[in-house]
Parts: sequence; structure tokens; C-alpha cells
Amino acid sequence: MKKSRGAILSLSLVFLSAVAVAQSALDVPVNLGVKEVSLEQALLKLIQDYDVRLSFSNNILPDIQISANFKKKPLRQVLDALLEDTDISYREIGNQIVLYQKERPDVERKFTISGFVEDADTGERLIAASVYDRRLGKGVETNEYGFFSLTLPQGDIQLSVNYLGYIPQEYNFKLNSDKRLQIELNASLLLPVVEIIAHDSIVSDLRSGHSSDYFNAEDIEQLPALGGEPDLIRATHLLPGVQTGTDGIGGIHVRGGNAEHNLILIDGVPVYNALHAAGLFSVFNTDAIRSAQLIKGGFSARYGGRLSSVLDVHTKEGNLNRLSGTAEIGLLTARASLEGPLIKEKSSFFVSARRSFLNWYTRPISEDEKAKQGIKGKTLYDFFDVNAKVNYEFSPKDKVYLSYYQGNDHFDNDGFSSDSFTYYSNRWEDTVRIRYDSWYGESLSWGNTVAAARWNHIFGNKLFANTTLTYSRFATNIYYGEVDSLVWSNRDTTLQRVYDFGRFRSSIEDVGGRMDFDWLLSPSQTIRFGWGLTEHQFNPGALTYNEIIEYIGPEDVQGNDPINSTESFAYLESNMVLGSKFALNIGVHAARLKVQEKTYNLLQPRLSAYWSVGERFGMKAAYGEMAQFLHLLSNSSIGLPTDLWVPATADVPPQQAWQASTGFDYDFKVLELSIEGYYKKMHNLLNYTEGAYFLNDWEENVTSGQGRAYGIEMLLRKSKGNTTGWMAYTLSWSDRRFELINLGERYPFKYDRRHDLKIVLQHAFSKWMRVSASWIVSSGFAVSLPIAEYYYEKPNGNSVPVIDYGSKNQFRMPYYHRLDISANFNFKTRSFWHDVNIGFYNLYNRKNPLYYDLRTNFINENGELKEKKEYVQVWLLPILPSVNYAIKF
Amino acid sequence: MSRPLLTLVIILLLAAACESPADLNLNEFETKLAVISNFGPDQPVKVQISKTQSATTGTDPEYLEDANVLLYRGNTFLEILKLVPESPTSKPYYVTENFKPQIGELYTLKVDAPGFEQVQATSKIPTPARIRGLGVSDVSVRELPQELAFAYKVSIIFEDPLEASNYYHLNFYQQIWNYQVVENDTIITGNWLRKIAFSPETDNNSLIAYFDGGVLFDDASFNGKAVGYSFTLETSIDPSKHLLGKMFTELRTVSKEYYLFHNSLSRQQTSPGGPLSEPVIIYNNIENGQGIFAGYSPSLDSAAIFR
Repeated sequence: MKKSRGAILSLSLVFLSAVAVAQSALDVPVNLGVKEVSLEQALLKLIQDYDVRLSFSNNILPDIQISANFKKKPLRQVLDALLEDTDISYREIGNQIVLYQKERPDVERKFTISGFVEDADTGERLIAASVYDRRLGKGVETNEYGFFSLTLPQGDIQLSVNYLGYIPQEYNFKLNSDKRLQIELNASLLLPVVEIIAHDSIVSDLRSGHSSDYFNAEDIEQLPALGGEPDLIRATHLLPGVQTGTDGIGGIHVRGGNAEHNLILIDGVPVYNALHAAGLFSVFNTDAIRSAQLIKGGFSARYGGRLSSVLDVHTKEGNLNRLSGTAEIGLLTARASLEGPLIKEKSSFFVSARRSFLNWYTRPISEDEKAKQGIKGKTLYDFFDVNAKVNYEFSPKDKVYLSYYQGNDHFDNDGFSSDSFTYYSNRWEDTVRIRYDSWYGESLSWGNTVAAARWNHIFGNKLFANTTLTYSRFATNIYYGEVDSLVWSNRDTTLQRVYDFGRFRSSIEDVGGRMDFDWLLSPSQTIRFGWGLTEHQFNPGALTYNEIIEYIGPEDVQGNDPINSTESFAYLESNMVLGSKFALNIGVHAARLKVQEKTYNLLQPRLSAYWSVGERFGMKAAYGEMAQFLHLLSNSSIGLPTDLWVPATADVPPQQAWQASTGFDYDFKVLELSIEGYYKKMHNLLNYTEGAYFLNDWEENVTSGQGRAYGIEMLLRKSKGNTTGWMAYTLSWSDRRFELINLGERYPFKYDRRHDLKIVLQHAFSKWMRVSASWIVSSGFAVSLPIAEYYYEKPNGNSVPVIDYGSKNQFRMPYYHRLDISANFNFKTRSFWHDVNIGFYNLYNRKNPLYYDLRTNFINENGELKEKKEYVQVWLLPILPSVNYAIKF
Repeated sequence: MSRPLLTLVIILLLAAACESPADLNLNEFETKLAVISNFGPDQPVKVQISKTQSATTGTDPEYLEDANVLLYRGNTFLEILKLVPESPTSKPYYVTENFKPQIGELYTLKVDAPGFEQVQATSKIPTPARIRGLGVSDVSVRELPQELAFAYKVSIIFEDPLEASNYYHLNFYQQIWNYQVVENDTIITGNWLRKIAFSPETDNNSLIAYFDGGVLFDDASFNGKAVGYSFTLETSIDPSKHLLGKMFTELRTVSKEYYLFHNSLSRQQTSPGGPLSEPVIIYNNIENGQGIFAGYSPSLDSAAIFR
């Protein structure tokens, strides 16, 4: 109920004279029970019920909703409670209690609007939603937990809230006091276009100098995918500055960095191996992803521990309002997820699982192939992932999350063969039948386990705190065995049996905790600070083996001793908007490692800036120093799960890098262009010494070196309309130099792809049909191939071949190129949504080589057996169709 | 979709894939002279020369017998090396007839052959390290069917010269006596040396097992000191034919070229190889060619083995 504004309402009612004489009006006990009424209504109720002589102007009353229940409380106490958080005070003047606006200071009065932005349907909090006042053009983005705090001058507010794929909301109100909002956005019925940079261009102030790209699950699901399996890591391959091996083998390499230089976080916890099947798939089940952000350079100070990039993945929290779920089946995997409220609007859960059924294919194919070679056996490969999360909101200011991830790969290979021969023995004067039995088996399993407990708390309106306890483990187990036996069949006697069994284990296990604070001082300044500590335990590989002839002896153990280390950090960063055009993020990340009685202290300054030169044109620059206390030692030319994670030690220093980048954005309205150049220098990189035997003590068989990378990235994108997409081009160089590799000479990094072009196009034919295509073309990666050979004669006259590879990685693979297409159809029946995805991976069946192998064959040439060598090109994935069907409710 | 149908689709697709001959244009390949020579003090210089061949050739190595091989001390011409033709025990090689190199001198080898650019290389023989002590201890014997397996610890102490960097190749040889028992008398019929090889499982950046026996190491961690090393050696003999003799040691102080070449060669020989393994780049000090021309100087000692 509104009264006319601007008029003075004076209400004077007469108390009972006895009461008036006896005590102050403010001491009179009153009852007040109201629910969600305006302040004015609450005050009027007091006047009506108790004849209180209250005098006020309704112009000064803030537009707030009051719920209160007071019983026999002094009026003073009731008024204090009602007027809390407002700029109104009161004074007793004679018989009247006069409400008045507190004296305005000389400076402009400001109040804070804070709260969360959520999905109206699921209650999921939305990350990086923009909240801004259209009147002043000032705004902020929600943080990783959907929280925002916007401090604005008193007055009329036109608050606009936007999030990609959601219908924008607008709130008009008068800001007279601090305000708490729970903003709910409804998803747009039309699926969103794929927008890899989710910043709202209106809020130009919010842009920063760092290079980052956002994804959400819908984005990823719209892209053509291998086997129809939407994949976050594969989606990153389509961005400028991100390189990978053939068909994704070998992981991602951002701006010339190594695979281990990427900090991959699931709900803030590092994941050590983000790949299944050596990179064909990632460990991220798209069903579980709420949002992801890839930062390629100019990291904020809150991130630490890696040199090249941060892939920050947030999983879904669970639908707070209703039970919902999905089930999906494709040619290679099946997955399902379920989410819903545990306590309505207070607590929810999310659980999802994915399993491959590659065994369906590998078992019959391998059995047939082995049978052709006279072997009875099989080859199996499978993987699975499980994600689970629960949350509980204790109060509007406190929320707790528990999250869990486990993913495992398993590979098995075995075979049994038997052969026999017969001869006449003079000694036994009989025919002797000998049978030779041979069995072999290998089993390789690896996986990540990640768990986190998180508590969000809001202090006041501006300070958001997040406390996290984390656990992360990556382990590899390899078992192998071989049994060869000679059996005298006639007498059923085993003449000789040779066993060779072994197992290899390596693991890295982290237990840690961290506290992060977002202090949202004003729209033009946010301060973030925090600290944390992680205990690492490394078991960098130990082989236990038995090599037995006729008797079983004790196991021999060869390998490395466990190493423990303690990593701690603290950071401070400030996001500032200077004037209306210049945004600055400045900070420092301090990290410390204690290992083997040695302490490393590393201070890493970070700086990024964005200058909105004009309405459409902005320039950016960033500089950052990074340190990494972990190394990944690879014993092959492609990343495999047998690669060893090892720590910096007293003898092995941490990896360090610095990166500087600069560029600009230009908005052509229909198209947006971004161009950025970078230079990165890396020190104390670690690699196995050339030819090192990888089961030896790793610390004594590694070599330190340096790397550098530089290039220019260009991104031209169209993100509005029925036809959307982008074109990304990168021109880059990257090399390495290690003392004990390539004779100490500099050589090209394997993923030194000079040119890299990615084109993604999508077209929405209707609300229910969308077609997309992506085309990648890249310079071939750098490899070493045997070029020539000669012979070295040993003193005993025997010769050994000497292979000349030239300089390391001097050969280039041919250009890699591949076209993928897919079509998405979605429709609704009753309360179910159905999605059908049909696609082709590598549509024109390009045979992109994974590697070249020099094979030796023997040929009959004029009756003479001759050796013939030839290079064989091995490739992985031909044209692969995919059909996926998903049902959602 | 039923499993058999899916399987059939995948089999059909995979059957068309995987591998095919690759026509690689390895422009980098050009036949060059490969020169191999390790030379010591007061011994004739022997040089073996062959042609490098493409990695895909797959034919036997071709040794040159028409090369002109010249040796210089600094810029001073010393001698044209004489060809020793192929024999049942050795490939053809070239050798100095009169000249024997000395410690500390810088020698240059130049080779001309028809159809090839002249190649050349330089090296010198380093000052030998003096062996100050050699001992054998902790001898153990294990009886196996038809053989005796010996294990013992060898300790060697030597003096590392005070030069900037020194490199070593340490070889161990087990002397084995052949014998026969004739009418209750043991008759020694001869003796021979077995070179002891080490497993690459002990390799590290400073010390590696040489593929043809012994170990290679540098003095990065002990420059200019008296240095002690211990190794456990294992050897076995047939007790019905052999007797264990002395243990001989050869400590070669080697030039940097020798160390780098043989280190990389040894690592390449023990590398698993294959397309997924990282290659080992071979050191080469032959200008315009391939191979090694490197000096070394040996110190010898021996120790008896007492059970």
C-alpha cells in the first residue's frame, strides 16, 4: 500500500493520560506481528494498535519488506529492530516520536546490494552472471558460488541481471539501505548459442587483461564430438593457443607449455590425470559440469601451482526444487545423472555416472586377431567416472558442499599358446613328445579420486569466505606375468618352467585445505585473498618382480622411495576499475614448498589490465610469474598413465615461468575480433635424460632445462543469431633446451605447430534442430625419425648399428586436419525431453598419422632372403559415425 | 542398436584404418663418410671408414678401401694411413705405419674419398689418471648345476687430474684359466679374459654402464681428488673346465669426444627403441661426416681373488 509521496503525514493520537505521565512513550511494551509488509505498514500498525504518536515522512522510508514478531517488547526495542539497516533514526520530542533521516555526510551515501543469482528451475547458482545498474553502468559478476555484492550510491536503481542462455531480469527500486537479493533467472527456451566468452559486452568495466574462455555444459554438448561423447577437454582443442596431439592423444598444451603445466581443478581440487584412453576422452562427464573456465595467461593471483593454464571446472550442485535426471547412450559410452532436493530449498544432491563399453568391441576383435596367430586370449579396455555432490544451506549466509569424483581406466591383455614337437631319443629309446606352453598377461589400471568439503560463509554484505578441505589421489597399477614351460607329454612331466611376474605402482596423494575470501568493496574494487596448505605424498614408481627358474624366490624391488612434501601458499589480489575505462588486476601469489629439509619460497607477481579505448575497442595486457612444485616425467613420446608425477626436491628445483601478453578486442557488432600476442619463458623444466632407464632412481636420471614459447592468437567470432561460430588462428613457436638432451642444443618442442586454424560453425534451423561443424588444420608436430645409420665395430669384431636421428625433433609430421559434423534434434513428449545427436568424426577420413614406425621385413629376392625396411604410418581414428540418444526429465 | 550390429560397424571401420606404408621424403638424408677411431698413446692410430646409409636401406655396411686418410699434429702433416684389407676377423681399416700418438698433443684426421666431401676431426689423448689402489673383497661363491657363480667387490682408488673436466671409461676383465685333469694331474692349457658388463639398471647422469662392458663416468662430482669407487662383480665358471684367475682393471682417461660419443652410443644401444620411445641423439665430432675420432689413455692394474 502506497501513500502519496512528498506529503508530510503527521499523526497525533492521544495516549491515555495516566500512561503518558508515568513513563516515556519509548518504554511502552508493545506487540507486533507482521509478515512481509512494508516498513510503513508496520509503523502504521503500531500507531493503530497502541496510539503511538509516531511522526514521519513516508518519503524517507526505504522500500523494504518487514517480517517481525514481538511480544511485550518496549517500543524502543521494536523501533530499533525495524529501523536496523536503514538510514533512519528517531527522537522523542515532547509526546511525539519523530522519525528522521540521519544526517547525510558530505560524501555520497552508498549502500550494498548483495545476494546470489540462481537458476529458477534448479536452484543452481550461476557463475559469472553479470549484475549491473543500467543507470550508472556499474556492475559486477557473480563469483564461483553465484554470489555478488554491488555497492552503489543511494537512489533509483535499475538492476539488470544477465547470464548466457537465460532470460535477463530487471529490478527497479530505490536504494536507501543495504539490500539482500536472491535472484532467479529462467533459462531461455531456445538453447543458447555457443558462446566461448561469456562476458557481457555492456559491462566493459568488468573485462580484464587475462585470457580466459568460459564453457557451460550446453556449450560443450552443441559441438561435434568423438563418438557423440561431448567432452570438455576436446572443446578446449578448438580454442586458439591450445594444442594437442593426433586425435587428442597427449593431452592439451597451452601456449607452448607441457601437459603437466595445466592446473585442472574439479570444484577447486587438482586432478592429476584428466584423460581417459591417453586423451581420446577426458575425465569430465558433461552431465556433471556446471561451468568451466580456461585461463591461458595472466592468471589472477588466486591461482597457483602450474605454469601454463588453469581449467577451473565446477560441477553441478543439484536441483533444489525438483527431482530431475538424464540418461544417455551412445556408441561408446552410456551415462546417467540424477539430482534433486533432499530438503526443499535447503539441501540438494547430484549424482552422475558414466561407463564406456569399449570392451564390447575390443574383446571380439582381439579374440579374432589373436586366434589368427594361434593365441587364445583377449584385449580389454574400459573406463568409468562417478560424480556426486550434496549441499546444505544452514542459513542465507552459510552453505556447505560435499563433492566426490572417481574415475578409473582398466586395460587387460592376455594370451595363451601351445606348440609341440616330437623326436626320437636314443637315450630313452622312445619317441619323446615335448609340449611348449606359453602364457602372458598384462593388466594396467589408473584413476583419480577427488573429494572436497566446502563451507561458504558471508560476513556482512561484502565479504564472502570459502573454506575447503581437499583430497586428491592419482594412482597407476601395472601387473604383468609370463610363464613358459616345457612339458614331456608322454610322461606328463614338466621339464622346465620359467616365471616372470612383476607389478609397478606409482601414486600421488594430496590432503589439503584452503581459505579464500572475496571482499567486494565497491563495483570498482574487489579484493581477494586467501591461503592454503597441501601435504603431498609421492610414490614415484616401484617395480616388484620375480624372475624364477624352477623355484620361487623372494621378490626383488626396484624403484624409488616415497617422498613427502608440504606446499603452502597465500595470495592477495585487487580488481580495480580506474575511472570508467581502465580495469586493473594486480596481485601476488606467494608459495612455499618444504621437502627433504629444503624450503623453497617463491613470490609470483601478477598483473593484468584492460583499457576500453572506445565503445567497441579495448586493449589488454598481462604479466605473470608462475611456479610449479611438481614435474611430470614421461617415458614415452605420448603421454601415458605410466608417466611419473614427481615433486621438486632438494636437488630438483621447482619449475618457473613468466608470461607477458598484450592484445586488443574489437566489436564489429555482428562479429567480434580478439588478437593477442604472448611470450613465455620457462625454467627448471624437467625431463628424463636421453636414453634413461625409467625404472632407475628418477632423481639421478633427469635433466633440467628451459623452454620458450611465443606467438599470436586471433579469434573472430559471431555469437548472435541463428548462425554462430568462430574462427581461431594461432601462429606460434615453442622450443626446449636441456643439458642432457639433444647434446645440449635447443630443439623444437613436440607441439611446436607453426600454424593452427580452427573453424566452428553452428546453425539453428529451428528450436528443435541445430547443426554444427568444426574443422581443424594444424602444422604437423615435431618428431625425430631415424635418417641414416652406420656401424660401430666393437673390439671383438662384432658391429652394432648407430642410428642417426639428426637433431632432435627436426622432422615435421604432415599437416593435421579433420572435419567433424553433428546434428542435434530435441523434442518433448509429456514431461520428457529427448535429444538425438547424429554425427561424423573425421568426415573425410583423413589419415592423420599418430606416429611413423620403421619396420623391417624380409623378402625373397632371387632366392635370397633380404631385409627390407620401410616407414609405416600409423593412424588412429578413421571416419567414425556416432548416434547418441538422451532422455531428460 | 544391438551389440552384434555395433561390433560389425566398428570392425568395418577399423579394418580400413590403422596403418599403411608411408612415403616419407627424407630430404635430410645424404650419404656421408662415417669415421670411427679411438686412439691411445704409443699405439698405431686405426681408422675405419664406411658410408652412412639411409635408415630404410637395410643392406650391409659398405666400408671404404679407396680413401685417403691423413693424420696431422696441429697443422703439421704426420702420415698417410695405410689400408689393411678386410680379413676374417676384421673389416678393412687404415692404420699408421710409423707414427704413434702421444699424450697431450692435438691431432687432426682428414679423410678424402671419391664422391665425398672431405671430412675431418680433431682430438687429443688426455693425461692418464693414476690408479692408487685396487682390491677385491667380500668374495662369495654359489654352487649351481654345472657352474660356480662368484660375486666379489672390487674397490678402485685413483687420482683425478686437476683439469677442468675429466672423463673415464673403467673396464674390468676376469681372467679365466682353462685346465684339464690328466691322470690326476691338473694341466693348465691356457687363459683368457672375460669382459665384465654392467646392467643399465645402475645408470645415472654421471655414470652409465657401457653396452660393451665397463662403465663411463665423469668427474663432475669429484674434480681433482683421489676418488674411490666400489663395484660388485659377478661371474661364473664351469668348474670342470675352468679356474678363476685374477681380476684386471683398465681405467681409461678419455677425451670429452670419446665420452660423449660412447655415452650416447651406449644409451642408444640400451634404449627400448620403437616409435613411442624418445630417441637418443648420437654425438658426432666428424666435420661433414659421422662418427668419432677420439683419444684416450689407459692405466692398468690387477688384483688376485682369494676365496
